[in-house]
Amino acid sequence: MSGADDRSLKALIAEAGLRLTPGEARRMLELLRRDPTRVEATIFDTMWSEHCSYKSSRWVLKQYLPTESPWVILGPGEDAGIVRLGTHDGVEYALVIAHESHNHPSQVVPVEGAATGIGGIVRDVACMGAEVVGVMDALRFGDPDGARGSTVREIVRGVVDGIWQYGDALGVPNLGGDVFFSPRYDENCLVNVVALGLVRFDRIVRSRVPEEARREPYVLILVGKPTDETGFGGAAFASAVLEESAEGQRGHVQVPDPFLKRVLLEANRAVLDWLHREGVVAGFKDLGAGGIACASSELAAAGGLGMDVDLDRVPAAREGYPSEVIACSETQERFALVVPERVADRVLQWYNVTFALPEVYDGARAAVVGRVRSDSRYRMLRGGLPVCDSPVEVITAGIEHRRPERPRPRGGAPEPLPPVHDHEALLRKLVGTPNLASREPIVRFYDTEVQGRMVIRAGEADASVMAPVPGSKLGCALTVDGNPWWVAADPYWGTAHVVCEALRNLVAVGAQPVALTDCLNFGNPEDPEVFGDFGRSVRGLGDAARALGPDGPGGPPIAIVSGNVSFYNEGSSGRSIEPSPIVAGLGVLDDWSVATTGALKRRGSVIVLSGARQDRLGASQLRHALLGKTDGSIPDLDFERERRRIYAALEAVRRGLALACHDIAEGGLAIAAFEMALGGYASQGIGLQIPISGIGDPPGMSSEARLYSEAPGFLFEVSKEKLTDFLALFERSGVDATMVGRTLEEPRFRLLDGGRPLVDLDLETLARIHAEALAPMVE
Amino acid sequence: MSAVLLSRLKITDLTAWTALETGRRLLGRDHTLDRLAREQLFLFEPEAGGNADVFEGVLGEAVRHSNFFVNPNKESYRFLASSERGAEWRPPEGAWGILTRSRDDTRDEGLLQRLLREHPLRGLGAIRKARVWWLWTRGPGGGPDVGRCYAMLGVLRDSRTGLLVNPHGESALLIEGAVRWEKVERFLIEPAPAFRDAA
Amino acid sequence: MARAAVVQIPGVNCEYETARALEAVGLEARIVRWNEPDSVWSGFDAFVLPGGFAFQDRIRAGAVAAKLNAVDRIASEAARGKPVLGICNGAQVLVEAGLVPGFRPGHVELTLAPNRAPRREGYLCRWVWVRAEEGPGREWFARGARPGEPIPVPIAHGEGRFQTADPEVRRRIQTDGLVLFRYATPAGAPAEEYPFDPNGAMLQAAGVTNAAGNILAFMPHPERALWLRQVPIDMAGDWGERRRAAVGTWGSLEGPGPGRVVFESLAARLRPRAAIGARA
Repeated sequence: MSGADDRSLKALIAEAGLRLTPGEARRMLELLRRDPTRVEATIFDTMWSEHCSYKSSRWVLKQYLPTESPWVILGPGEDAGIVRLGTHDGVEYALVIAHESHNHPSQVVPVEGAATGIGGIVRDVACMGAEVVGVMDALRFGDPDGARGSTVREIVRGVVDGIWQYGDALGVPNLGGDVFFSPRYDENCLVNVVALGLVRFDRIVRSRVPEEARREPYVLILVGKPTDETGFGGAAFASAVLEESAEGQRGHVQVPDPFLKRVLLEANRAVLDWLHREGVVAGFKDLGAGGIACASSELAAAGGLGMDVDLDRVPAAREGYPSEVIACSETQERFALVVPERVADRVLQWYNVTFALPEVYDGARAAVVGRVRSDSRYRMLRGGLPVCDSPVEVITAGIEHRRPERPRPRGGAPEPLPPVHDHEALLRKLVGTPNLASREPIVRFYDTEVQGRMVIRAGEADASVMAPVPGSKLGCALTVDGNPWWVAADPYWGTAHVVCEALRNLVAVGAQPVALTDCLNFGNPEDPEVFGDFGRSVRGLGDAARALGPDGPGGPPIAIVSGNVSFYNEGSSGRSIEPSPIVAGLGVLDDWSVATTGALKRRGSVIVLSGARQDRLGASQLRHALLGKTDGSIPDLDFERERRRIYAALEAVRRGLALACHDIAEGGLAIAAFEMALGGYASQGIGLQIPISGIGDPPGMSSEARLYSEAPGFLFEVSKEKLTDFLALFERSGVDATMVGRTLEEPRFRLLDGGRPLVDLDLETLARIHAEALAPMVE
Repeated sequence: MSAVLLSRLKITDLTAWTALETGRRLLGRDHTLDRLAREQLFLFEPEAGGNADVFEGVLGEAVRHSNFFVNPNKESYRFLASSERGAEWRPPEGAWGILTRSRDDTRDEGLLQRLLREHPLRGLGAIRKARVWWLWTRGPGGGPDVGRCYAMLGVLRDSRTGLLVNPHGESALLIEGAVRWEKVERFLIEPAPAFRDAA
Repeated sequence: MARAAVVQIPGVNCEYETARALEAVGLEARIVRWNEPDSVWSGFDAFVLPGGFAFQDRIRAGAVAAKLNAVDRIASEAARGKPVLGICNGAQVLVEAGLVPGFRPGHVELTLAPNRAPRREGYLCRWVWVRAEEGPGREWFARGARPGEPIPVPIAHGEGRFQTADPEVRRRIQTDGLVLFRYATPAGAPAEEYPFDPNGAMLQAAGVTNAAGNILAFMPHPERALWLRQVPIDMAGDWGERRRAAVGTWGSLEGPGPGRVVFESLAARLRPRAAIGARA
């Protein structure tokens, strides 16, 4: 390779089946100071994929995202972030959270792709020593009624199947998530997954060779499925544009197995317990992208030591795999453990005898495959000879690309919305559109109850709430959000709104926001406009996270503790997805019993609105329903006003001043009110009436804007007895709060304007349209 | 005459592996279970009085060019149009089979409706589903000893005998050598016979 | 204190909350691995096969697990009169092992077939209502449940439809009162249609016992309805009212939920036996 020009380098790289650019190949030669072996070239190719290296994004993320706060124990950098939960019975607990995408595999093999996504994120959390207590997924699909609707519907069905088949079998409750449909996901769906874990402070395990390895011999144990060729090249696949022919992708299909995973997690639990009892310090890491090479080199580098990995000792599904396949394949359901040599046999016994891995899966087992070195050299051996030999920091050094950013040209003046003559017909239509219809047909496949920790489950409120520690008052809440139309309309403010929505969802259930994670899904970063969207989106995310901490811009931020960047989300037509930052919000509750849902609870209570309606209907669900367009201007956002509103709502829910609280998001006030009415109708047959005359600023705005503006805000249900206290709290916080309606004895949904009913429908009819719209796609 | 689709996983079939391992334990030392494979069978039945050739063209396209029935990234298939399927269905070389169907009506109405929605076609009366297990066995004499192996691995009787078919939910057709498609059709179309464990 | 074994077959995933449920009613619970020595099983007074996906439900739910040696051992203990509760996947194992209804010992007389409901195939997770009927299982698993009282519990299964192809088996299950729990409406009437009847089981059976009543195959998950907090806030009926009224009161929410009646019944039935055992 040395001395080759760009063209012959390109040819050499292509011949080896790699995706490095000539520039990257030169950098590799510079670092190695010689030609690479095939294994080394494959390792660099994998480690320098966008997926593993964050080569385009890292410097942007580092510059703009806050990652530290008093709640954070461990920020981004390892497999998952760790956040303080609280103390119960003298034991300190923490929450572990990770957030990933599994987009391309889900487009190609939806069931296995989505399942592998769940499997991977669960490993990320488990390898910190945590018990995985929940998963959540954010799904973005194409237009189910569009030109490629048939394929889209196949993918929806497959992804939902993959999620339930893996998660339910693993025994991890599904905490919900969100689903958004838009034509720009036709050729490239998004499957983002979040996993949440619970761990005692004193049981956190790090993904690194421990300090103790400087004082006694440590070995590397590989445990799980025997290594095979599945997923070889997977990281590079995740970083490539999808080609039209799904036929060509089959070598990358990873085969998930929740059954083996469940047994592995049980065995891990027993092994980590035993190591803890014996006072042995271990390092633990999951095997994901880049396989053994990535996991072992990162474990070593994080501990500042080197490692020898003997590829001949890796249990393989069959004989004769090339070294680079053993080194880099992404075979699922594997973990790597670094332990003192003196306990290695005992650890192997736990896995291979006590939990009988070889009987559970053909060829599964734990085996010693490597040894920690006292220097910082990293070697892989085959037949006793090195097939990779380099200082470990060279392997893990990474690479950086500074991509140019260019703002997108602004579109022309948006076409005005036609006036709405029949609001009842409009509402009936809207509640059955894919983006606003009930998620119930999907959620009914997901096990929300396993582990018995649930307090408020998917679909009941704006966030899910759990009681993670049995017998304790400590609670946690999780939500995931991201409105791609808004971000496409304005990457900076659209992303800032996403953060606000996540926080609103947390406080609506009475949870204090403590951390965020992000998965940033974009198109090809080599396109300056795509990278411009990315840069502005990250700035919006960072600014919002700093501005919305409980004490405002001077105080601690809501830190971003984990995340992922997914580029090259575009189909063969070259059309990229909408810029799609997806944000998960994590909250904690000192006492989970305050948590409540958004459903109406009582006859004769009052509805209060906080958050003025704005005459901005760009990128709204209404605009899409009336014109099929998603352009235009999105609502204004004032960070300080939003911060005060968010924390006033938190206090109201915590103090029990609100019977119900629901965030206003897609579909605006009308849809938020409808969703509140649905729950009250289901449990007690009550209804809701809202006169909209008094709403809006300026007062003269159209009924369409009052009803369907998606400007940030909340609706509350407040009992008459608590109304004075409720309003006083908001006044003291300097936040608007207006009485806008009341609950009804009868199950009707009424929206009045100047005494004239715009909508007066029975809830049964609306509920049926809403409930059944998505059913044909999954049932 | 109906059209037939047979599909199987080309990625690892973990169910087949577990069935193989469990089957080996049940058989004991005198018998060997060398291989076990699993296929999904779809029978496409024309409307009363009609012919499958009315819909086979569109159906074949849906099988080949969409992921509705088969995802080529993970599955392989054989689509046998009514004119191509021949009179008989032959097991793979060296194997015998167990065709199992639900005791309920084998028609999958939901699947049919979904197919008609996604790939509109005319003349298709019903889609029926069944599962096929192919087994490669050897008995003490060196032959497959189908009788004994079927008793041990086929219809469940008690916790020691039978595995692949629970007779209270499914009924089974033993496929020992070539079987006429008409027989397969009758097995799938006619109501499952009442079952009474005779022992 | 009576000791209950929670049987950990590979792929089971409800063992921890099931053990907590047993402890909450005063039993001693231990999670016992499928491959522990045969001698371990006789040391327990009761056995619970928890929910999950034993062997990933490969071939059929429960089919592979039913062949385990551990299940044989538990069957022997049950024959000595010890109670066995199979929850969801555990119920599927008991049926596949021929323990329920067990008219002819060891013979498989039932199946748990794939759910069948209009327009809803496949796996189904939701809260349903059941009611306890009269029968030999009542003194073991439903003491304290009032006749016709609707008990909300969640289900999560794809193969939950009790069915037999043998008309004689069906007749005896009915005449001997072996359907201990039936799916019901929120008002406590027998469920006639989806979603109250979630899977189309014969006789709307949610739980079936053996003739002695000491073995119950129960498809819903009572261990997931052990505390009031687990009841959905927006559920209709009495339990929903209680749940809503308790928001903000941790002590009430941490109090008993509707599914506890099954475990309390088991504990109550075991108490005198264990006491006798202790004296001997």
